Amino acid sequence: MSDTKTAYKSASELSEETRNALGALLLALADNKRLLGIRYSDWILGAPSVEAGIACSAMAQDEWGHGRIVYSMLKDFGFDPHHLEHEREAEEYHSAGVLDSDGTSWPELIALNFLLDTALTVQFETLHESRFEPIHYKVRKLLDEERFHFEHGRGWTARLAETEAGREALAEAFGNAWTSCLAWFGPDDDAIATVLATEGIVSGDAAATRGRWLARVGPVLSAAGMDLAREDADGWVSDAEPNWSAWSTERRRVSTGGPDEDTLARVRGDRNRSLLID
Amino acid sequence: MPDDTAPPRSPQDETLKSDVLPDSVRCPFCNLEDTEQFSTFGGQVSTSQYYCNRCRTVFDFFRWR
Repeated sequence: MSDTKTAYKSASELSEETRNALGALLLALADNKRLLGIRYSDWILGAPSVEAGIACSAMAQDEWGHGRIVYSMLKDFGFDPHHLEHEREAEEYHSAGVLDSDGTSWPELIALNFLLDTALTVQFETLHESRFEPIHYKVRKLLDEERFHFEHGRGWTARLAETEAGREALAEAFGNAWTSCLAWFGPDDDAIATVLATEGIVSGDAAATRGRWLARVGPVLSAAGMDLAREDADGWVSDAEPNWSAWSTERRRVSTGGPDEDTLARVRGDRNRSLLID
Repeated sequence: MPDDTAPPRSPQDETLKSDVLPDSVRCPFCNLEDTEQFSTFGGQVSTSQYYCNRCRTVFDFFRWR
């Protein structure tokens, strides 16, 4: 389709190819939000300060809210939201590898806060003026809330970098999370990202969106003494190369597998299912 | 009234201050703006916490108005 001006009012107006591509992107966003919420919730108790614990509680609630909003949209894309939220196996989750198992340290949580949460936010920004209009209002609210998540991640990255021990812990945690987060955007020729960018559903292809993320996180990482990204004539770049031969465009990850047993039980809500009242 | 009996709280770490929130807001008890950011996330959804230097009280501030 060459006309990129007409707005789409519902999923049924999209071509099958575009609908499948947007449905896959939305599912990946929802799954990452849902699992990221669990990771934030792990630190409601045991964070370095009472305020940081409260921040994790608020951010967990935000992430689950964002996840629910996106899952509910997927009904129009041929998915059953109840099945998506409660009945899938690990390899059916379209979540980043870095969320597969829980972290053990506060710097690891900050790596998720600053790197992964920001990656998801940058992806949502590409939907801000999407031709797919039903998402506009939802994205605006979500981006308003995410400004505070970004500041939390940025602030704690800078704070931890104030000591030698903190810098070492940061380097290890961020180094471990880096490739998984970088891969989220996909290779330059990613099939789904290309379809969505061509159709005007998102405002940038994989390379453009990745560049936008690198420009957002790069200066903060650099100031904190981490050389994961560097600035050259073309802007902020990373020399890391995800293993693209293992890339799944639907699942937006470079590794097989999925959330571990404990994470899966929590994300599906297995333990309390009989108590749920919808 | 300033509460001279309560010890002042230590200010929030400079690195955690928010660029999005106002530096100070009006204290609901003193009705003065001698306040500073205390915590970006408050005790309720959509709130942030501020600290009043006059009455030495932490209070919740609604972010969205």
